[in-house]
Amino acid sequence: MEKARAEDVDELRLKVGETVDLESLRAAVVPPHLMLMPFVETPQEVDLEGQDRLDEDGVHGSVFHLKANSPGVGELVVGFRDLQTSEVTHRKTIKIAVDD
Amino acid sequence: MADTWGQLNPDIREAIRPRLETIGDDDLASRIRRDDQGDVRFKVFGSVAAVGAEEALRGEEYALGPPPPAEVVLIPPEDFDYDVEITDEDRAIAEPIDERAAGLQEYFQRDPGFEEVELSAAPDAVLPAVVDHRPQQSPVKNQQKRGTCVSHASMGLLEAAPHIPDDLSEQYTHWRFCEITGRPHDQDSGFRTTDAAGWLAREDSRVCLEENWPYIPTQEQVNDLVHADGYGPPPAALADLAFGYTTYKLIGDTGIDGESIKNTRYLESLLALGFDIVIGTWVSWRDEENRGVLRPILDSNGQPVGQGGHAMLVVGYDRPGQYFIVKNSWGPGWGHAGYAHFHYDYIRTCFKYGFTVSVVEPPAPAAA
Repeated sequence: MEKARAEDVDELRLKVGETVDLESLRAAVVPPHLMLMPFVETPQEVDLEGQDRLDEDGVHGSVFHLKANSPGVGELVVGFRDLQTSEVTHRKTIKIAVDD
Repeated sequence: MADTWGQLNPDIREAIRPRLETIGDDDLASRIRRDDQGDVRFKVFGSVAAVGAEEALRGEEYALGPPPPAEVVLIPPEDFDYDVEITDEDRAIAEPIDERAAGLQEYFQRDPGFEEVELSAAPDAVLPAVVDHRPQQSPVKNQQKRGTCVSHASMGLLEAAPHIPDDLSEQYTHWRFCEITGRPHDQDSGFRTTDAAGWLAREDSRVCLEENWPYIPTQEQVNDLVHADGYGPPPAALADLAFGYTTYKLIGDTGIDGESIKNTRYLESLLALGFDIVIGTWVSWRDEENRGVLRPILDSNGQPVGQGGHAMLVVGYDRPGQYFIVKNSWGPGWGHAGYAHFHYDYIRTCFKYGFTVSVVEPPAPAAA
């Protein structure tokens, strides 16, 4: 199981069947962003198998459990959405390359 | 608002339109929000939700834009291990606090609020109607854009002791917590609030005065120092590590019975005995109401909608007003001069855990 922090990576290279725990971006729990929801949008080559919240008081964040399902290249987007306004407050695009 | 009716996936919009004949587009748009499952489902918020809207949307999956590529497995809060691990050593350390609270056991056996709201607010002969420790607190600080609430709440508790200075270093405390847990310094880290009690009771985790390591207000500034190999306590801080906890009590969540962080009568009892309480809570309130009494935002299962955790210091209660007085670390311009008024129902639904202390390091000088 690979682990990566979204903040640190611009590209993920995976093999079909490989899994990775991707930690979302982090955002302090301070005004004006008190109720943020981490999100991930995956390309068709990657499945989101699950999600765990960070067990930390002080920051918003999640760990996304991803699995590569088919070869190809695409882009994955992680970020936060404000639960009250639905506005995307943080966003980062990560390139994905999945090999056979 | 970003999510308007017009931005809904067109296929979905057309699919549900016949079922929402009585609802104008603008009307619906003003009443739907993403729910706590991110961008997968919608729910209708508010007590005046448009007739038929909730029924029309319930049980359905509607996505903004393209549907998600895979089913998301979401884990509800009750399935997480948020219970505080209280060891035999923790229990032994807490004995002096338990002994002081023992005389009030009958009072805090059960919070009556869920069953009998009027009784909850009624005057009670056992405890004062109002307890307010604000005059004993240090000035409200501002953690600014970093996730250092656990350090701020923990230092606030220590600073409330009469013989402890008002200006301990949250900068050092947060750095030390990262060292203990092995967290990288170049990321914004939070901590489980109750872990701070045990850490600050360690002899190797005493803290220093603010003047010996002043607070760094942004994570970007911290990162710059880390990457320049310049991040760490200065010699003056290391020569001044004198302040910490000795006797603490961890408080878990056992609902509204007994020694539980959700039992408002237990918190009242501790406050009436002179204790302040550091708490970890879900942040699930409308912050535009922070100058009033904050109530919880809950989903249809009664769970907090907010997903972020935050630490603060409970310093009083007002039973007739049905709120607790809580010191925050977002500056004196927030809330009631830096303090929140949380409705009793907020405590009963959103508080996760907490701790208090009765003896600190260095100990108070003996009375003459």
